[in-house]
This record gives sequence, structure tokens and C-alpha cells, in this order.
Amino acid sequence: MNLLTSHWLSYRFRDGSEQQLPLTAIANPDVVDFALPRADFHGAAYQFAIGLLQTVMAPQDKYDWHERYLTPPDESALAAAFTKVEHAFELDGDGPHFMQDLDPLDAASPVPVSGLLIEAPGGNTLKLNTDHFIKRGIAETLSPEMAALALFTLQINAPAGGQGHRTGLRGGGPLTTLVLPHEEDASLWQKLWLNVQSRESWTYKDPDYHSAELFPWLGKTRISKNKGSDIYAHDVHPLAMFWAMPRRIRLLFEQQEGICQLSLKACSTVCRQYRTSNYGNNYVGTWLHPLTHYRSNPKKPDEDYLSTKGQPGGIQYKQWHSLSFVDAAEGSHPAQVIQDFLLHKSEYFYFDWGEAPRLWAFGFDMDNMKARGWYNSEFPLIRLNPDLRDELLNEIKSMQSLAQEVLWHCRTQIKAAWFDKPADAKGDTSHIDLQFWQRTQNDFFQMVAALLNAPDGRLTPEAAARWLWALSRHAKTLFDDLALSNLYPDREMYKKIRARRQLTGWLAGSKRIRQFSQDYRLDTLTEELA
Amino acid sequence: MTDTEQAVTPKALFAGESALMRWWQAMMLTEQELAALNIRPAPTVYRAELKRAGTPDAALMTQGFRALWLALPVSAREHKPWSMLAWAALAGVLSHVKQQDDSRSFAASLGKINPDIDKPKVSELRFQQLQGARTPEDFYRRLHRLIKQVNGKTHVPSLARGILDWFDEHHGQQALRPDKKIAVRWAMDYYQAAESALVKNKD
Repeated sequence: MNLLTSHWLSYRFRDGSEQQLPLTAIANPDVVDFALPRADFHGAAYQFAIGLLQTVMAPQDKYDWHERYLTPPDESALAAAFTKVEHAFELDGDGPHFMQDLDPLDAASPVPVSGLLIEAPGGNTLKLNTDHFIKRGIAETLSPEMAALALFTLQINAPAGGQGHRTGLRGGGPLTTLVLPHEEDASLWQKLWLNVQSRESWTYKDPDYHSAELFPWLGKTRISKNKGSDIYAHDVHPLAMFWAMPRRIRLLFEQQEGICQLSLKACSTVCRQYRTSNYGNNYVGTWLHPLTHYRSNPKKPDEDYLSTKGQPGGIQYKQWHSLSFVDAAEGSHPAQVIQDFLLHKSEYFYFDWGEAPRLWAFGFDMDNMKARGWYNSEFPLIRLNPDLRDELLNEIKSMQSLAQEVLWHCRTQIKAAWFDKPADAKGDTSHIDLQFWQRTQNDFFQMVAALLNAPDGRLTPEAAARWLWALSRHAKTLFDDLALSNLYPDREMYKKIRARRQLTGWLAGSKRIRQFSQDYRLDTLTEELA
Repeated sequence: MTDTEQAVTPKALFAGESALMRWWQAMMLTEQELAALNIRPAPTVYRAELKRAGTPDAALMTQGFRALWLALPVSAREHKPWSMLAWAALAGVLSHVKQQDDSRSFAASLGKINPDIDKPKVSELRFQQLQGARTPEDFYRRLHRLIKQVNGKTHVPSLARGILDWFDEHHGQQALRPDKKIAVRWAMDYYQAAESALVKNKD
């Protein structure tokens, strides 16, 4: 099966229907999205298509880019562009296999194909029978299409997998951030093309489509058992970041009728097993994957940049400004496609409130090899007025830190209401944080909208008061919902009431809140907002 | 300042509040005080009958309750199916309240520190028994006992509203927000008033 010519991915049309078509369908203006059975596959399909477009048809400059944005190539032009790399996208057959080791790995014994799925229980879990929450048997039989997607998804997200089983180029479970048009029903082409960069904004030498420096499976794997076998960014072509292959894998296909357990479709070839070996390509050092946010240590500029990963609590607006805006002082580097969009492409778009393009962030939350969850969030992608950029960013950050502090006190008092020794109480309380971020999100973006309308990059007293009031209102109701909704008359009652009084006391009269009121001149307000 | 009931005063706390206050004052105030307010004194039988009523049902049968009920605005009377019993319970309890005091609320008057013993007028245990009442009769009996413990002095509108809300919640009309529930409001006010003594005695 060739991934550039076969009908292997499903697409959703404007009228809601779905069809399995060749990849050239992305140029069809009636196609609005991929239609895939899993969220991680959906995200992987975007990265596959974006990587491919960037590899074979990157626009020369932003004008070129914009023209293509408005008028997608027709399907035959797209097919012609794909022929250049067709040889690298065979899933099976005699030549190199897409995202699979050149070596047949005959020495490795086959393992169940479900191992490609990131949340599937690993070998030891199966042996020890400890798969209590993540169940075995989620995918014993896959169609070649789903096996290909599972393989690609694993290679781009690969978590640590035991000794010598390398993580992906961005580390295990990286966040991916993409730009989406404001309109949900924009064509898939526009959704993808927004994330393709022109050769002016991202300069690199023309790729050699037959080189393993671009597609690592075209050459021998660099076995990473011994020192000195690591792969640094300067060892490969920059575009190889889309095609990195940390795991050594060979899919095993059988000519047999079967039902794919993911797509639930009948297929005549099935994949039940694969071979894998450790010590694959080991990507180290600083990479700047174009779809991922990185952090650096501003005090130690020589240290490697670290990609941002999924973390417990999900992707909330508390990360929104980091994911959107470059902040050298804090060492925050948004994904290249986000930077490129705000810098070069934004002039073609409206940024009126409510019409702004969207920032889409998604990824696994991994605890080493264990998948804790999959996160998926969207935020408005906002352009800050360049003249006031620093002021605006500072203001957003200080509103953000106020929220962090309110949350800290809220969480502390909820724990004080729950436990006799709150400081010693261990356990995951991230659901408190999660609820707080979710409940305050609307107010946050209203505050941001008010900030963007402010003439000098400072919040007006009214808007600052509204934000403070929203935070304290939500902190109190969150406390009440979690600590007071079952108020039994017992000795816990006093503890709970005392904790609530601590919280309201802090919100009303703490030094921090008084300082905030002073800084934003809330005393000038004549009208009580509360 | 408390964020529970203080915020809504001095506006009326509930429908029928001013009629209720006039009715209660007519039973309790001296003739001179009533003359100043231009209120006619109530027949002494009102209070006598109500004080003898041992249950909300018994209070329902009294002349004093009838006078109150007829004085209430329609909005208060046609509220809910259990409104009449709630107001009867209220009439029965208020017949024991002799004086409106300066507490912020009913629950605060229970938690107020008695300076002689440096403890709340109503102990935590007794307060929690009120919070634990599950039937109107039990609730009614416990309120009587607590009124006696505060020497018949409390915040009348706050007590009245608390009783009406208790009946609403008893009949399944729970407040959506926890901080609006009567048990939570009472606990916040009680413990705020009682806190200084409780902290001293616990730690």
C-alpha cells in the first residue's frame, strides 16, 4: 500500500458524509476534515499532511503562500507533487517501508500490533496481569490503513519504551500546536496550509528526496547502543523533523479476510503483529520542531531547549500566552508555525474579537510509559499590537499570576476543609485546578478582549475589577461545591467553615489583593461590581 | 463583615417580612412603643395560645397564626404547598422571641460569646443538633430550646427567613449553590460569632 496513492484515510465532507479517498482529497474544497476513529490519529493525520506539504510544495514567499491559501492546487497538480516522494511512502513490498526499519528485524519475535497504540498495556503489564484501567485486547487486528496511522502516531509521539526504546524527536508525549482558521467549516486545505511555512520564513536547502537525511527509513538505522551514535539537528535535513523515526519497527501483514478493530471495516489484508527492536535513532540536543512549543533556560543559553509536554490538568488558558507569544525573558518559544503565522501571515486575516483564528493544542499526557490522558484544547489566536506588545504581554502575565494565586489559596483551603493535616495529604488534586481553569476561562478571555481595546496596554480599573471579582466568585463557588455541598452537622463542620472564612478573608483583605486594588486603582470605581 | 446575610439587609429578606414584623411587634412591644409605631396591640390570647402549641400543626390552629396569615401578602401565602405549615411554625417560634437584638443574624446570636463563661451562648453540640433536625416537629422543638438559651433575644427577620428556607429545603427545594443552603448560612454565621471561643478551647 502506498500512502500517497491508496485510498487509506477517511475524510469528512461539508455535507457531513465521509469517504475513504487518496491523499489528494485534501485539495477538494468540499472536504472539511479527516474522519478518523481516534483523536491521536486525527492529530497525527494533520501532522502527516502538513509535513508532506511542507516537504514537497513549500511556497516561495508569503505571497505565494497566500495565493495557494485562497486557491488550492487541483488534485492532479497535487498528485504530481506527491510523485516526487512516492518511493518513500510504501507501507509494505520490497523496497524501504514507510516509518519502518530497513532491516527486517528477523531476530526479534513478533509482538501484538496493539503495542503500537500508546495507551495499550505493555508486555510486562500483560504478563503480570496488571491492566486494571487500560485494557488489553483493544486492537488485535488492524487494517493496513489503521496500522500505518498507529505506526506514524507512535513514531511522532513515542514515549520512553524501556531500555533503548527511544522517545520521539520531541521527547515522549509532546504537545502539538497548530493554527486553524476561525471558521469551523473551513476547508481541510486551509486548515493544513495555515501550518505550512514559506521558504522565506523557514530557510533550508532543497531536500534530496532519496536521502536518509530526510526520510530515515530509506537508509540504515543509526544503532544507538554505543556512545557517539546520537543524532543532532545538524546531522539531518531540517524537514526530517516531520519524519523522525525513533523506533525500529516492522509491520507484519497477512493476506486474510478480517475486520479492523479500529475502523470496523472489512479488509483483505490484516496486521496482527509487528517486530521491534531497541536502540533505534536517538535524537538528542536542541531541535525546534515546527509544530511544537519549546522552553529554554534564559540563564543558561547553552542548555538544550525542551519541548513542552502534556501535563496533568490539561491544556488550559494558563498556558495560552506561552503557546502563542515569544517571551525571550522567560525562554518561551512558541511553535514555528505559530510565530510564522503571527509575524507573516496575520496581515491576511481579521483579528476582530470573535473572528480570530484558533490555536489548536493537543497531545498525550505521559507518565513515562503510561498514558494518563489525551488533551485537546482550542483558544483564540490573538495578535498583539506590535507597539504595545511587551506591555500587553506583561499585563496578561500578571492577570495570569493573580489567577494562579487565587487558585493556590482556593486549593489550599479546600484541602484544609477536607483533611485534618492538609499539608500531609498526598494524592492528586489536579481536578481542583482543572475545574478552576475551566470555570474562569470565559472571564479570562473577556478580560483579554478588554485589554486589547485599552488604548495604552493597561487594563482599565473596571476590567481589572471584573477579573478580580470573577476570580474570587469562582474560587468561592468552587470551594463551596467541593467542601460545603455536604455539610453534615459533625465536628468537620467547624473545620470547613473556618477554611471558607480563610479563603474569603484572603480574597477580601490580603496584602496581595490590596496591592492589586491599588495598582489598578480599583478605588476610583464608583460603582460596586459585586 | 459576613458575606451571607449582611449583604441583603436592610432590604426585606423575604416576602411578607414587614407584615410579620408588625404582627410580632403587636404581640411583644409595650403600649407606648406600639403607639409610636402606630400599631394596635394584639390580644394577649394570641401569644398565650402560640406559646402552648407544641408542634407546627398545633400552631396552625391558633388565633394568633390566623391573624398573621390573613395579614400576609398574597405573594407570601400562595408560595408553595407547605407555606402554611412553615408560617405556622414560624409563628409558634416567634411567640417565644421577646426581643430583637443587635446580632447580625439568628445563627450569629446563637454563636455569640457569653462573657461570663467565655463560651458561645449555644454550644457547638446543640447547634449541630439543630442542623441535624430531620422532621418539622424536631426542628420546631429544637428551635424553642435554643430561643430559651439566648433568653428570647435574636434577630427576628433572619430567624423567620431561616425557618421558611428550612421548610423549602425540607420539601426538596434545595438551593443550587451550597452557600445559599440554610445549613451552610447558619454554620457560617454561628462559627464566625463563636470562633474566638472555639479556637481557644480547642487548641
